[in-house]
Amino acid sequence: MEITSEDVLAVLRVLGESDVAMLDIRLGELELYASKVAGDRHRNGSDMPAPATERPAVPAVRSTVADSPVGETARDTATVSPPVATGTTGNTELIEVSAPILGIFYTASGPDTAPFVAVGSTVEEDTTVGLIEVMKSFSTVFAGVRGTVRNVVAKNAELVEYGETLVLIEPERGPN
Amino acid sequence: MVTLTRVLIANRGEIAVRVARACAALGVESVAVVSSADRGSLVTQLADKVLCIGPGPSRDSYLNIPALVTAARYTGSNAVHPGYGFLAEEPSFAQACTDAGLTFIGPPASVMRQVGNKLAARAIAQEVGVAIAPGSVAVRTVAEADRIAAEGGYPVLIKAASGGGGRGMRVVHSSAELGPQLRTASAEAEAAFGDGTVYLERYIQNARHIEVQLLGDRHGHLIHLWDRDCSIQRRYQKIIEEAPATALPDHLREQIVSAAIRLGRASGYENAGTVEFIVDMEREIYYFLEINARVQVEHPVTEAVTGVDIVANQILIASGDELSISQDDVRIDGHAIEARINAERLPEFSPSPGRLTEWRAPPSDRVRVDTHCFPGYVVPPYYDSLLAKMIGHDTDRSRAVAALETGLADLVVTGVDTTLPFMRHILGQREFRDNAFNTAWLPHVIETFSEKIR
Repeated sequence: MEITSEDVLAVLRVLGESDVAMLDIRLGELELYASKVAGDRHRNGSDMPAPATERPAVPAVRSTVADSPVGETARDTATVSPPVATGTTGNTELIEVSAPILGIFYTASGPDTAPFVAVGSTVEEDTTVGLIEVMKSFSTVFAGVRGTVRNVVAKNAELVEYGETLVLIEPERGPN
Repeated sequence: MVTLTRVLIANRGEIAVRVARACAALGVESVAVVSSADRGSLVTQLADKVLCIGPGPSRDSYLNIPALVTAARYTGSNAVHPGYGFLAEEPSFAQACTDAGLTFIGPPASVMRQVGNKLAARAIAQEVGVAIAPGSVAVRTVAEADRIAAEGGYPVLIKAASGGGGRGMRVVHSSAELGPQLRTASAEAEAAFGDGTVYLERYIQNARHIEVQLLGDRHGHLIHLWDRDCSIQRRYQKIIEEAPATALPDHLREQIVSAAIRLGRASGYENAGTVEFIVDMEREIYYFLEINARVQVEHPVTEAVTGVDIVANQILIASGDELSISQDDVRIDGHAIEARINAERLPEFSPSPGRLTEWRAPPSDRVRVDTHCFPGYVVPPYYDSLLAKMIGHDTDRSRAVAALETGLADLVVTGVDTTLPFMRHILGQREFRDNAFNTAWLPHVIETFSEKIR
């Protein structure tokens, strides 16, 4: 048995709408673990933390280009792009901000301007981390979580695929 | 000389595989663009480069013109092959490619726009003396439609001016039905194609659907690769196609291919295209239906009997090459029949997506299989249900039927429901073996088949 990204999204949606803080599904060799708990250290094999503040499964990527079909697409896509936990630094999982559409990724608003974010930048949910251009139409990519940028994976002015990882963010730890 | 060096394939499924293989054979690189639902598809193993352009639903991926053009430009592609369906006959896509400096492998946007509008195409037909089915230009009022229908006699067919592939068509049997049907058809056409214009056409009872394959280059050469008979249709969707159209007398076939050439010339046609006709078998009269400005699903039957690689020629023509064959070089060798295998549950023909636990199509000299399937492949729920096309080819029609029957019997598919049993049922029918059927025949076969399996 294999699961598709759609299956995972369905599980995340159910989790987001329920009172359940954590889900651990095992089907044969396959394990799907999802948690709404900030700083959950389950993946690191360390002790399970006491449930702290709940973090809703917000989309990591949102996009706004009003009145453009690309914007429509981006928004539609964003609603099904929840943050994906990936890798670890110390005891914290990193949140992957992925491309909501295929296009050219820009780390800054112009060649002479400072990048939106760099490694170490602190970000809010609505902080812009980059732009994606598809035929002169620009979509904004938001951080989607509060935290600290740990890696800007995508290169400036290069083509990114749909779903490609752009930035890795270490989410802010909830009060323990 | 192929001047195109890298072709982006703006499609999926078996035709994406077909185009990737044609590119490889010509020494041209290919770029596959896939939706996230098609990441594990066969074309990703064949193409030189693979990009994910969007999520599963086609409007965000295979129909996303800006994403496709961006992907083509940034992968260094200098051409785009649209396949069939999706954006293949969308003039704005052809135009967007041209504007971005990409060669669109198909006719120019202007030609596509002209032949894509059925009323404009019918006007061309009348100019070059090709009969169109008795009917009308656009009808605006029910009274006008009623008068035209009464003149020609019922039943009549209501068609959408901007429709295609059988969508937006309705058969009307009496004057009483005409008003309501006309309103529904127009509303449906408006919703589906953004154009509510409809027209009437005489509905021919004993009809064959005959089409002619054209190939035209930029240097004024336009040839035909003879005809195909696609009369076995379910709800105007072709299910079995064959070449040549041996049910027709030769003199009629010659008239039809010559009419197709006149239509192609008059519309300035370039690249591969198909001219469709409906033939009244009782009166031996043919009427022009439409021009399809793309490679068709059923192109392999023509390739089998003529030995001409249509997809390779599309790429060469788009490269600016002159056609390497003349009309006199086109010879028909035997007979070919294609059966479409769809992932559908019978007898409802409802979609049956899922994982192919087994997929085995034993190789054979007499059977060609065009498919994107392999064991373990997951048929996604977003797209059409075509799994494979099996083409039987032999020295004559009855041997081609036998070849296809053997091929279908040897095909092993498990995990999803398929139309395979229905294809074998059709091939076993006496009317099919005798080549004695028409476009209205299949619904009867479906009825008897449904009773048999219930």
